[in-house]
Amino acid sequence: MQIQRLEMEQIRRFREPLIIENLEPGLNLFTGPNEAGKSSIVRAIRAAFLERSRSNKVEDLATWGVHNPAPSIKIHFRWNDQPCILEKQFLAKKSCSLKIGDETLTGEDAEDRLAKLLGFTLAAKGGIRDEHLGVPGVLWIEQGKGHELEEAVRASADHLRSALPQSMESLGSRHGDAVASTVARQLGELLTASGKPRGDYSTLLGAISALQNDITETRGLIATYREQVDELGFLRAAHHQDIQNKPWMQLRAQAEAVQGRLKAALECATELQTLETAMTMLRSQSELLVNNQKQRKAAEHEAAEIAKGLDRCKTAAEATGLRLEALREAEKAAKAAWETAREQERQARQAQKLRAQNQETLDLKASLAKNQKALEQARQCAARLSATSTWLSRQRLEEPDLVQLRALDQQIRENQIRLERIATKMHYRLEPGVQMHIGSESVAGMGEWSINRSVQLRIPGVGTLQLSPGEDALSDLDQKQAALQHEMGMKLAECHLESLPEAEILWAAIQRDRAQMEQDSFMVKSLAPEGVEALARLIADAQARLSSLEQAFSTMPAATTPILSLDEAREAREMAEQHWRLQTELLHAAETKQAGLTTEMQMLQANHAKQQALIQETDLLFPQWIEQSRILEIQQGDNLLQQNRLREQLTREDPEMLQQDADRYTKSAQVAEDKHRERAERMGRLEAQLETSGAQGLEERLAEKESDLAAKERRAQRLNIRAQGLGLLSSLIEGHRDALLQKLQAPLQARVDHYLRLWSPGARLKLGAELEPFEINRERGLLGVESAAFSALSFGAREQVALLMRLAYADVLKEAQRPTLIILDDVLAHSDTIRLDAMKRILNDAAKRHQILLLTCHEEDWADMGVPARTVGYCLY
Amino acid sequence: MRFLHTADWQIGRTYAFFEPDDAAILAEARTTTVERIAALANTEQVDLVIVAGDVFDTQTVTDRTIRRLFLAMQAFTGPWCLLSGNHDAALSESVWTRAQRLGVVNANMHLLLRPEPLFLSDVGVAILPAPLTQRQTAEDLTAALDGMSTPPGLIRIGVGHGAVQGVLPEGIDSSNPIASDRTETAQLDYLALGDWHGCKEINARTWYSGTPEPERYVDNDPGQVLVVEITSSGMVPLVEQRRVGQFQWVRWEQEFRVSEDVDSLIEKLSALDGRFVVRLDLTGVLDINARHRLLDGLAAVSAQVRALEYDLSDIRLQPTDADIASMQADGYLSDVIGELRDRSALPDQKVASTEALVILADILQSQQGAA
Repeated sequence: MQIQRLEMEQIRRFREPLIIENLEPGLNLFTGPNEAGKSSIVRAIRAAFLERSRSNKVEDLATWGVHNPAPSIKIHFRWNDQPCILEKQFLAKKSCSLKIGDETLTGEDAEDRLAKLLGFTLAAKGGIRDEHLGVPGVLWIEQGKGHELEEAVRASADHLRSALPQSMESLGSRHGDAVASTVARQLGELLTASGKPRGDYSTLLGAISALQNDITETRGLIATYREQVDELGFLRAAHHQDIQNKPWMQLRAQAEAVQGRLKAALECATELQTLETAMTMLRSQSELLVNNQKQRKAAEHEAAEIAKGLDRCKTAAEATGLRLEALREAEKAAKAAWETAREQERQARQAQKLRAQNQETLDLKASLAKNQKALEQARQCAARLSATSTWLSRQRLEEPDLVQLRALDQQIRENQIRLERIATKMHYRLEPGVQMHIGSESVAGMGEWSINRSVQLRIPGVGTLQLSPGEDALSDLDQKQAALQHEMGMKLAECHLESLPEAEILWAAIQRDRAQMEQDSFMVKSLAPEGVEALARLIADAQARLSSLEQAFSTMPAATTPILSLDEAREAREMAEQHWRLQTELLHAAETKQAGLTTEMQMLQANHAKQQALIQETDLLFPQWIEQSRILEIQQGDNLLQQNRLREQLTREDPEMLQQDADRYTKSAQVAEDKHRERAERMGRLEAQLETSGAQGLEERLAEKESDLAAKERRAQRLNIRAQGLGLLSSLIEGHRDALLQKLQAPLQARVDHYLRLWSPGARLKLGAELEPFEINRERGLLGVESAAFSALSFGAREQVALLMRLAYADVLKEAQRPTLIILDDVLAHSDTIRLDAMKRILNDAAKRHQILLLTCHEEDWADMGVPARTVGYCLY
Repeated sequence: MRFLHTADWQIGRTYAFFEPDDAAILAEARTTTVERIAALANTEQVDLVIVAGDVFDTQTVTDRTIRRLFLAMQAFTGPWCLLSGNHDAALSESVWTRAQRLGVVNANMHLLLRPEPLFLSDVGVAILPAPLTQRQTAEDLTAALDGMSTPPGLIRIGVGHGAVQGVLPEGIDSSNPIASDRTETAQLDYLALGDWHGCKEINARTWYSGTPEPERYVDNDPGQVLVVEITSSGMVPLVEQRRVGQFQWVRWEQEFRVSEDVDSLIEKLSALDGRFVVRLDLTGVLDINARHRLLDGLAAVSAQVRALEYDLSDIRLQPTDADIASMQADGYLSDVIGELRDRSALPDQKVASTEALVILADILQSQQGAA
């Protein structure tokens, strides 16, 4: 079908006649801004083909503001290679005529023919409604309704199906749908949509489950009942045996027997304890006696020992006494020997001295002559010296003096220390009023006296005591000290000095002047090596000495020839001295020993007296003690024998063990009796319980329940099989029906696939039972296949898919030699560039088979369709 | 001296495999049979009735059941000797102690619960019982009978419950054994046995009476009591069978090969009446039409007999082309039928696909009916 020319008058915007001619068999593009009149053209075509001319519901067709309008449309088209003209007038002049080839139809005939031709249903009255639009509803898209397809398809399903090469009726089943719905209904009575039992079936399964639980419980009760019956049987047997045997009686008898033995054992233990106490007492008594005896024996022994000691002391004292006397004699003899030796030494010394004086006299006389000559010469030299040596000569201190002084001082100090150390100390304490004279000094009261030398102690009214230090060295030291001190004093005086420090100062001055004198003195010295004066004095001295010697010779007794030489005499004296000192020491030692012995003897005698007294005291008791001890020993022996006997008895009959046995038997008896009683009680309880549960008729009830369960299970099994059957039937019917549907839809599906390839390669569109788009599947690469219901697509995609579906329907209709005209008013406004391009290719392809009127306000979007655009509006041609 | 020998009353037994209504009647029949035994005892003018164990099916039947049983026995006022069997063993607490507590055991009803002889001097009989005092025992309890001495002149009648060794089929109650020569070793005039539910003669002096009312599909001649007559001690007893059972239990097998098999089965079943309890083991192949006829027939029969038990799950439904034509299943529905028919040959899909076929046939039939 191809519209070639359109004429319209008084239609909406077009008050003046509008003529559109030379329409192409393929795509025709109408452009123009909004409100330019594009929709008025579409409305005019729809009215011409679809509306009844006599309808009054088409006021919207009329041009606004025209009084009594009479909208008219004239369409020239070709169909089946025949030229056709459709003329329709509305409202004021209602008319319709259709000319097909040579055939001309008017009025309702013409309209009926049109409806049949285009595939729609004429309205019985009023304007045409959507549900009657049929094929034009699918192929003619009104502005903004491009995405709405399902309703339109449903409304034209019969027309579309009739266009398919094979119909459902020819292939399908007369009763198929009815059977399917009956099966679905019956299945629905048994199972829910998700396949779970429902209604009576569900109630039945619930009842079965409840019964099963009930039966399990009842079986449990029966099992308990049986166990209790068995238990009761055992208990009765045991009870019966107990009554026959009475085990507690036997145990009690055993307990009593043990108690008797226990009593005896306990008595035995008490006796043993008494014996042990007695034994302790006996032992302590015995110990006391032994102690007493020991003490006495010790005293005896002690006394004997002391006596021995005394004897020893006495013997020793006697020996010492004898020895003392001898020693005293020896001491006296030694002293006398010493005195003799000393005298001999003095005589030897005297002789020596005399010989020396003689020699000296001879020497003096020889030197005197020589010195007197030298003196005269020296005095001359000395005169020269006198000037310088005046002072010096006055000074007495020489270096050796000083050295000597120093040495003396040192000696004195050292000696003093030694003296102090070895002096004999005498401590005295005198009665008040008594005075004692030590040497020249008087002392009283108490004090200490150092005895350095022999001293005389005189106590008035008492007498005189001569104290001599035992140590000779001491008196020597003392003497030496006195000599030293004297020498010191002399030396100092000699030097005209008071003290050593003064000497030291003076010595420093002398040293200075001496150096000056040295030269002068040389001469003097050479003549008078010892000085002029000295020489003179030497001479004088020598003269004085000579005279004194001569004097001495004259007074000296005639010299006796000494027995010994001085050295021999001194040696003899020293030996005698040594011997005497030894004898003194021996004597002193013996005296000390004698004093010690005396003291020891006194002590021993005192101790001996004490022991002796002790012995005398116990003299009477001692024999009694011995007798008592003997008796106690016998008693202890008896006691131990008895103890041993009792112990042996207790080992055999241990009270602790016996007590345990007694307790054990008593307890066992109690346990046996308790058990017997408890068993009886348990039996009583069991009997009562069994009576109660037996009366419930558990097994009979169980059997009834099992019968009920079996019946219900049989019924459930039947329902289960029925559900399985219905399910199987339902799925088979559905499967076969779907397969058939697919077979019917195959030509349409092929056309859909053709366009879908251009729209989105790999996409699959599933069609519903009424040929409507149902589900779209698209490859999404790694994400797999994406499925979406048609209704869930985006607005743009839905419009696109709807459009290509429409084209597919058109293809099928064309195959069936039905007229196809496609009107697209303002479509694909929501498509992106890529999809729009795809849709343009699809439209271009469809335009090879169908006439397409495309109206748009976006001229630029469609400039690439290869057809000129007709501008609707002011310069429409 | 005459007495009735019966056993295995199994009072309190239930029948789970029947619909509750039928099961109740069958359970009831066990007690009414006892009434008939009591009546028979009177008409036969016997001196006593011996029940050789398993009087009750379980220990814990309801009090009501106990009362009803002892009531049913009251018509016969002579001595009843009831032995405890394995189902109602004389345990420390048992159905017997309960009966005694309930006070329903009359003086003429002797409960044989201990292995002690009972002397019924009035009728010149010594009853030597071997009761079960445990649920199961591996020893021969009748051995005790050997050592039971009785006053001279009394007829020695042993009563036992168990399996006579070497006589009964293998595997039947191998516990509670009984020596087959017990009558000789214990010098019994007669040994009344229970436990085997069929009526069976072991030897001239040893019998199983069987259960008086059948309760299984076992064809071993149950439903009887024995009337035993012993003129004097040492004489061979004269034993006669008396039928007292109310229902007969029959079990038939049928494999359907052609649809005519259905008609012959129904015809055979039609001959049965309310005294029958029937079980059918059905196998084979049926078309839809024959299956309908079978179901109709079975429905009719089930109203006719006491109880009818059958299972169609082993029958394969094989619709014929005629079936499909008559169902007017065209288009894809005929494909569905074809597929179901194929699937019904597969073991794991047989049940569901047969069911599906039946449902589909029913729906189509009802739609045709509606049309």
